[in-house]
Amino acid sequence: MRFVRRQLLHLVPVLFVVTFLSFLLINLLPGDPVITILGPGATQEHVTALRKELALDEPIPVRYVHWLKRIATGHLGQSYVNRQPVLEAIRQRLPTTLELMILAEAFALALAIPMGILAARRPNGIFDRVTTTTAFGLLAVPNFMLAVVLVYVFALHWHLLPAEGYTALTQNPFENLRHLVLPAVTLAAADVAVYVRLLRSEMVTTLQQDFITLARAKGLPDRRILLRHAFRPSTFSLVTVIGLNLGRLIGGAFIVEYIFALPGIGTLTVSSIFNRDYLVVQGTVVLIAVGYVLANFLVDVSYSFLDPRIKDVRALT
Amino acid sequence: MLLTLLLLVALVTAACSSGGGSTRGAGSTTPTSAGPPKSGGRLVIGVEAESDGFDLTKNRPAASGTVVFRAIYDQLYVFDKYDKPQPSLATGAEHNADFTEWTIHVRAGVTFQDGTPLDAAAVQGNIQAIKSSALTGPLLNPIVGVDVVDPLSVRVRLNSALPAFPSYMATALGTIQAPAMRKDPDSGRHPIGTGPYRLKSWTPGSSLVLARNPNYWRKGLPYFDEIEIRPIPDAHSRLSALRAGDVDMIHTSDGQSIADLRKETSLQVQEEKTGETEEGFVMLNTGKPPFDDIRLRKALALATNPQQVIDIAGAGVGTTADGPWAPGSPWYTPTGYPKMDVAQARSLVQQIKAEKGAVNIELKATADPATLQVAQLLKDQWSQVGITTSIKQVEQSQYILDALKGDYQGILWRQFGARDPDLEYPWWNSKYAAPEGALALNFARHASKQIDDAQEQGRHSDDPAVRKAAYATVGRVLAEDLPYVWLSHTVWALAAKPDIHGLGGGTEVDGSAATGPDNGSFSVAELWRG
Amino acid sequence: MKRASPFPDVDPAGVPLLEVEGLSTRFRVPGGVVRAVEDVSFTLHAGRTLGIVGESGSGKTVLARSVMGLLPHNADRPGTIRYRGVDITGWSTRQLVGVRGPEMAMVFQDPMTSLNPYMRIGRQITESLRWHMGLTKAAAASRAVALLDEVGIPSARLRADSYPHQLSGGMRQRATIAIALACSPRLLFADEPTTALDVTVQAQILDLLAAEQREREMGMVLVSHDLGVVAGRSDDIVVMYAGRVVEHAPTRTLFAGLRMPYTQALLAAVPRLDRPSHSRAAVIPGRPPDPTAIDPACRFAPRCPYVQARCQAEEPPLVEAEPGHRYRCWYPVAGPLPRSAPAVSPARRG
Repeated sequence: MRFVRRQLLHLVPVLFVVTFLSFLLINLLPGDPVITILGPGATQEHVTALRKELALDEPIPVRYVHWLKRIATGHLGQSYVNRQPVLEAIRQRLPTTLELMILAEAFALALAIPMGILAARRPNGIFDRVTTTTAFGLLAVPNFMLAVVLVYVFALHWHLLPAEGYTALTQNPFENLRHLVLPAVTLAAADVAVYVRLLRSEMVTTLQQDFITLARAKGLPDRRILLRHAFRPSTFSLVTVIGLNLGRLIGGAFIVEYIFALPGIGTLTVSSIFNRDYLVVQGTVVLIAVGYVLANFLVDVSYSFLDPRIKDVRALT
Repeated sequence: MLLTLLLLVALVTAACSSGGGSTRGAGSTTPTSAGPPKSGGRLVIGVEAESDGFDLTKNRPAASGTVVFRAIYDQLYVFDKYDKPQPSLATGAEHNADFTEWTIHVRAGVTFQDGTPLDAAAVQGNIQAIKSSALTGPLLNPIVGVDVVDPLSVRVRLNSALPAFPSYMATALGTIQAPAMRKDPDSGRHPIGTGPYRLKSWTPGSSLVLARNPNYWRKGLPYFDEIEIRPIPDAHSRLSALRAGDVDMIHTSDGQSIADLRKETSLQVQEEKTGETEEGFVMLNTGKPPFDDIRLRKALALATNPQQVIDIAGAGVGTTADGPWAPGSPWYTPTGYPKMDVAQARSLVQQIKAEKGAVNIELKATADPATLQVAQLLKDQWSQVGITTSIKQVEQSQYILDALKGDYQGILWRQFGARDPDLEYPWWNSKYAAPEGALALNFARHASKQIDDAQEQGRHSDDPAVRKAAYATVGRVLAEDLPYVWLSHTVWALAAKPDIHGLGGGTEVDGSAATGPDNGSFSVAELWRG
Repeated sequence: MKRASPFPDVDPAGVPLLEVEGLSTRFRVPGGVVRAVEDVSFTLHAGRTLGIVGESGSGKTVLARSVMGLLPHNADRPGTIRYRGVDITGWSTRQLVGVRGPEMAMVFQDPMTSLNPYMRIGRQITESLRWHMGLTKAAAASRAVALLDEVGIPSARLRADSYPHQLSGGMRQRATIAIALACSPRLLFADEPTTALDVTVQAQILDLLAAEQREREMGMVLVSHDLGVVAGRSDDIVVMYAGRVVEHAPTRTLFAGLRMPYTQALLAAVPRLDRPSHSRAAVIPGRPPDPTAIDPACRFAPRCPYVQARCQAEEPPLVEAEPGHRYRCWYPVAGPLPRSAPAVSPARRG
């Protein structure tokens, strides 16, 4: 419990630093939300009035403090552009992003774990070399390229899956899944490559450990040794990187969301940045920061599940 | 992609356009000959962008948003296929002798989607709101007041003669929104009109659903029960969605997509070939060096090969432009814009070099790949005559500001798609020019007495021949003074599954053929499946 | 259900438990071949103990693992291994799975690293019980507790639920012994079973192994760098240096008249209670040769105090001093032990 509290306390300074920096940076960017909203035909009086209405006439630190005060009462404000409450915009888009993230990671792991284990079984063997080459191949393919190829094959050629778009899970779970398969696979591809390599190299190290030799000396079959003895100790880097990926993906995967026209956090963030829709940007920044800290927290918690020694050390502190 | 944010332009051009396009249908039966329209069903349309809201006084719809505007609202007037404004929510209008007062009669028996009746007071409040909005106000500058004459008539008072007033009311400026919206701070998300559809649900970035307005005043319309509009910003994905059957219909102005569609046999394609279109061009800041020198502007125009730009950057789709009007527009006359002449361009550059030294210019472009490709091609073409170009990428929201403030030398731009040339008034008028640093709608800072005079003539005359001659002068002067190096007329296309009908346009209230798609926007009321 | 054994239920009389003939173990590495074990032969009968002694790097651990087939993929292993009269040299991993556990088992040097830190102790015992003996979960669990109890772990039931890091070093080694004994093997390899432990528990563990061996009539191969450890607890001793057997004799014979200068040096390096315990190998000056080098000389020559010209030109063969006592030296030492004779009595074993 103390551990959880400490992690939550971490969140506070992280949020301060991150939101202040993002507030500063987006305000320092050239461009002006008022011009974006009013367009080139706006008169000076209208510009001034709107600036006042949106409280953009105050200095940046003052605006930041205002924003903080509002945050403290649970208000993220509303979009300058379409007046949608920021919280609502995030709530509408977060499910897509979360689903995409979970599905992509599930695909990546479903493929990477068996591949990594098999590759580590015989380092430099044929399977290892094939997976290494495949992994680097996947890494080298930019995901927009992969998306185009996947759409061509699965949507246009075979008509198996939709080419783009999104159906809410609550609306139609099957359609929801169908819409997310291609984007998730696109996102998963590069992760598969990374995960396979990570798992493989840690497995190779683990398999050289004495306790593996002991397990072999016990007469256990290879499969059992790989899965029961070697796998869990070899997942630390994997879990760490998955955590980082989750943090990253909470911010959305802009390119994939854009290509597949998915209403996720990534497109929301990028379009808000372009529109200088400061409050929406701030809202997504808070979300991403919380996401990162949460993902890290989960990673830390999972360490102690993975390694009983860590739990005992934590219990002592 | 270029300047989709310059929505004000789209706003003015958003109404109806003259003429239709060319339709190619799959198979031997053309969609228009498929018997009487059938009602019912659901249509899914993929559009290029999300909209920020649907209140004309607060939002600026681009092509995609305009589709929704035209579904929810009606306008007082709409253009017919000859670019003439025809009454829609209005039943007619009279003007006084000098065109400074217009009395508009409003159709009886029409109610808004919230049950409020349409009457003179609603129209008065609506025009006043549009007039006082920061977004739209400047475009209704000539209006000084609106009075209710009787329950179904309003009188609009103007500060100068405006024979083209019905044309103004045939653009988005003639949109009639429900009085309740003026009290709703969140009206952009809760639009109420008299149109064929009402907004059923909207999840920004994902999908917008329109449901049939059962009380629509045009009996029998619309045909579809429900229409879903999905933003698919990536042009390639949008086309893929149509091919995969995820959507029934898309619009696109992407050259590659249109080139692909031209080869497609299983989809019907409707290109906007006639009618007024936007032009892509290089805008030059005539208010400061180096482009205050007409010789350099001319050298640039002579060195530019627009066909190459169209072929390489636009997949061969699009036609070269010689002025702000497309050959399909009734306002088009040849302008005498200079033909490409590398030798002459080179000698002009030599002259300038002798006087002022090396010719280095800066060209601003947005950071999207298609625009950058255009900039790169131009840079190569201009280097052939001795002009060194540095390309500067500017982000979209800064881009407009740079143009407004004159903080550029040359900039890639897309504009001038208005149906009536008077709606282009501020962009070319010297009153709207200002020195660098001050905001100016005459972005090129090009001041010409000839253009000013012609614009006044065009604005105040009701004689079509006089007006056409006046705007021919504008086109000619632009071709001589060269604040714009013309590149191409933008081509928009609609593409749909073969069983969708009505792509070419619907009907007027009196049953005559209405306009076709206009700069990517179109009316959904008379689309049907069968 | 117990898995079918490839071996006869009752061994024919006189067939040794383990015969190793001309065994070599080589590792292919980038840049050459590591000859870890060269041409080793020995025989072990049931109920007897063979001591294998040598410095680290002498190949003794590799030798033990070679017999059990616990080698990495880059290893070659020519020679012959006969177990209970059956030639198991060419057996695949799949076949060896039936041998390891119920036939042969191994206790490793460091229980800290050889126990799986991610698994409860009990689980590490029950998994082989269930796999090899087909015991039910409950039967395996109670058998595991009994085994832990047998190897002297107090409150065994509780300890079965502990993770290795929650146990002391001595307890951990007892646990690995319990793991090794789980399936009642006939042959136990104890690979430096006490090296990583406190001096105080070393003797306890060795005594435990000896007791278990007696009780179960196992054959045991006791591997150690410490001649003193092996001296009192083995019937035969193989001294290894740089992968080769350099002296091989019954324990008594060896201590009565060792011939090999290296054995002599090892003996001198035995830690004694009257001297502070410290690094043993440092006592023999120099280091073992590079195992990738091929050199037609006596391997020990560079460090041998008695070295002569012939030692550097020719590698001596393994010759017999008397029946059962072989050594590898051109100029063997003879007769009485040097001054620093071991304090350990070679004949202590009962």
